Amino acid sequence: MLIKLTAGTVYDPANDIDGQVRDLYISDDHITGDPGMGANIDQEYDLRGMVVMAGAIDMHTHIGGGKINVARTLMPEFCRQAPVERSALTRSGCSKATPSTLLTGYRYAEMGYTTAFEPAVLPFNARQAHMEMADTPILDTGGYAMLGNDDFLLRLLAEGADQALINDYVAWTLHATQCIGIKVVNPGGINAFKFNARKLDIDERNPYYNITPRRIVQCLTRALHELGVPHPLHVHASNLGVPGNFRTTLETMKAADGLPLHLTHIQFHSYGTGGKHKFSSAAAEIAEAINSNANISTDVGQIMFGQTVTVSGDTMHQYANHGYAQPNKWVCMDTECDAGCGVVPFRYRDKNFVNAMQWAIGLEIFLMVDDPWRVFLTTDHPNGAPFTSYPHLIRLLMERSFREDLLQQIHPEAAAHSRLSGLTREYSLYEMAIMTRAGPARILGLKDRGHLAVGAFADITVYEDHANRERMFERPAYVFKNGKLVVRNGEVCAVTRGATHAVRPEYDRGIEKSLKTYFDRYCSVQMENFAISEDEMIEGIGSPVMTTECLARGTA
Amino acid sequence: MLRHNIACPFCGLCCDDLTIESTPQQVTVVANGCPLSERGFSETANSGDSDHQPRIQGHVCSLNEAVAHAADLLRNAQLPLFGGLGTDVAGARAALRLADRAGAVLDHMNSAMMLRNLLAVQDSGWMTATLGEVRNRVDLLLIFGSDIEKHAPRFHERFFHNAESMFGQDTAVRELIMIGAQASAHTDAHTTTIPCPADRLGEIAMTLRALLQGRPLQAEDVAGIRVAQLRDIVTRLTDAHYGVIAWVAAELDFPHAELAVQAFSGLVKDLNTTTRCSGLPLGGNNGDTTFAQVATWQAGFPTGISLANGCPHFDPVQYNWKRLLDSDEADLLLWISAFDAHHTPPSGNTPGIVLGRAGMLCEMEPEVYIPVATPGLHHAGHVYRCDNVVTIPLRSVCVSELPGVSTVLHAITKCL
Repeated sequence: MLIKLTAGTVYDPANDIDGQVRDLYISDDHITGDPGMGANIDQEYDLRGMVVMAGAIDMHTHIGGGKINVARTLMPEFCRQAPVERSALTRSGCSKATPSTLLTGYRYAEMGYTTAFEPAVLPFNARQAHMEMADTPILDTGGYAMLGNDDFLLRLLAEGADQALINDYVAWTLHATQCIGIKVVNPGGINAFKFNARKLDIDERNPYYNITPRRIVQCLTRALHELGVPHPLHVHASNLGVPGNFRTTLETMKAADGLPLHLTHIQFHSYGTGGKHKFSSAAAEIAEAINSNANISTDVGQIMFGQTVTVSGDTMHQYANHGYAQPNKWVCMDTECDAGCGVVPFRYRDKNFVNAMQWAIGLEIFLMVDDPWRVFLTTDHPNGAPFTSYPHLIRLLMERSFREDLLQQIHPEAAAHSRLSGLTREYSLYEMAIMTRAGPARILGLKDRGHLAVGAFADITVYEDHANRERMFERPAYVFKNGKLVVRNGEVCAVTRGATHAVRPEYDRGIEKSLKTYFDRYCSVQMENFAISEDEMIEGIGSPVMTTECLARGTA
Repeated sequence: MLRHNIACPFCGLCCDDLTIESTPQQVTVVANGCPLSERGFSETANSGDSDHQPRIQGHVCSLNEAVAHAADLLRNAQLPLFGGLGTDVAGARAALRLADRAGAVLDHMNSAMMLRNLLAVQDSGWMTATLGEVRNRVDLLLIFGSDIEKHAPRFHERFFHNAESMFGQDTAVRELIMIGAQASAHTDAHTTTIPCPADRLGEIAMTLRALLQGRPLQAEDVAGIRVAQLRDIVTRLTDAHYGVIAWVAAELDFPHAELAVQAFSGLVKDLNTTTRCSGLPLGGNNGDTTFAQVATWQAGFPTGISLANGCPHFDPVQYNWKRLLDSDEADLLLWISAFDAHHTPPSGNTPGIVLGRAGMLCEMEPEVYIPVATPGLHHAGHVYRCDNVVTIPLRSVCVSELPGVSTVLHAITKCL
């Protein structure tokens, strides 16, 4: 099958193409070169006047694993309010903040996304994460395994184990959970909450292991670097949501010692204590630190006004915030001496000072971080807002006057305290393509996604060049996934199944001996049943693995 | 042949440390068994080849014929009901897919029990811990109910009196308080048992909450238990470093038992104001937790789901499987019980398609009977533990020609 996409205006930052009119050719699932005169084109799409980008990649969205299912269980009203009928092509389901997996796949594809990553895979339940993602059609998926609150790692650190041993454990975890990265959530803090600690700042010691969050971040950052895992440590820093937490965030950046580090949903970690409400924006300090430290990348976790539900492994802070639950119901779970799960429904309101500040802080960070290669477009779905609000967010970033209009509607003190009205920056389509395609692909080590060069997988999104960017980005004219047309005029027209992206660093399998003893003594699952094999990914789970190459050890 | 680290799907603990010996004739649990796993693995259906043959109206037929006839019945049904649903993740996925196509109602055979927990979560949430967390942290276990070993035979061995814990705790001195119908009044160094009728356990939990919150109480005893004794329990719970409050929903067999679960969960939440405490829902079988999980991610709801109008609709009363059969609202029953041949469809007027564990003897011959393989015995698969978190991989431990539930359901879907 040879497809020609004729004369679209191409934005492909990975290949320095900024709005040039080009023809693209798709041969089966790949982008191919110009086949020359006389080649037999099976299908041609006239894309004159249309914008062409690679398929978008969401590098942080909670679409799999137990937490969203807990949220769905807690919030049946979401599904009641937004049932979606089956069609000849698509399954029924429900929408709102925690859509069913099938709807998640359709909606992402209908916004031009072709790949999405679940950032909080509980190692003891990586199977569920992959099964839910396997039931998320069209998208390629992947996960980041959570470490840093698990007894085994903290024990190694408390014993002063060699970095080499920690590296082996990290690599073993990536293999066993079929993940592409490692995330740490409130380093040591989820664990400390189980010992009844209610806070743990970056240099405070875990009450049992006597280890600081800083040490955990240091050792995991180094492990991934030394193993050559492309994606740097994905950090949900300490003190989520706590006024004044920007200092902790700045210290967390320092803990990386200059090695690559990714700070996730940084909006929730950029709060000061200024003003009469003792809650202020520290976006300027955070953006400045990101701008001057090239090893740091971030995604924003923008909030949008409305009802959602927050899901996080950070039980310490989800518990602390349960008083804000709206409606008044919430779940906290301690899971397998491994991590946690906290689910608290939230309604962000534009007339609420704190919520309005959160909204402004996120936008400030987007607009004040200079390098779009190091800041990614996320709402931390569904924590800041459902992923379906991305087109609205894109318009906020691309159109200053739209931003100004909305700024008039929020809590007046928040508007007055925010720097937003002074920020004139408007993102270009090229920058938007970096932030949602080329940047995420690069930071995850995906060599053949997120760009449109010959040889790349043909994940391609085509938009009408509408002046209203929200309308443009919410209804692509065409979306191709692996060369197959899956969306036409913003609606799914074919349903395909994606693959799982994972990484497989080399390690010394000698560690399995000590792990076996450890599992036998303490764990509720046998080590042999903990690990997920490649066959199981294909057969039982239903999503074949595509391996992302590691970098040379020590160069990540 | 001896096989180690085999998982058992026959109760909610899903122990995965079994050693199984299998010959072509017999499967035996050699180590780490319990009455439920021994029965589940060893009960074979070898009374004759006819057990392994599908039937239409009692006449042996090919699988293709059975599938085609089942598809015909589904095509012509006004309101098909998928009941039983005793299957693994793959079976649940296939059932939901077929139900979506056929416009069916889905309700698990255990829905009444499941809803005792689920309605409480939907209304107020809860704080819980998984089995691995309990195994390593619990220092005081309070059980509302008294017969948990019937539902989870190895609970004490694996999760309470385990040899050692991660944190150097002496597991021999863990404290146990059991309040329930079968309990006789008893106290020793580490165990306190207090008799109490099941339908008054919620009242006890509410009293404990009131005492914990320092509210004045005029009663001197509640459900036959002295308030002074309840006050002592509150002190022990607040003094504990990591208390666990457990219950088995199946034991709470009285109207509106979800209010009792809500009371247990409220007590757990209150205790966390000063110390740590977690709830632990125990029990579950026949893939109930598994079905609830898969249905929740695919259709948004755990059970009691109608897809008749083209999109998921949840109503635990209207779509209760027994009610739909008793009222003749459902005109076709597709019954699945792959783990347990004894869970047969209820006899009644509704014609049925039955996917049963081989050897199932239905009271009335169904319209279509298809003997199916058992997950974890005849084929690999996945089931959820009762803690709602951990998914356990099942292995195939003996060879079988029988088709799995998902194979049959996908074949029917293709015929529709």
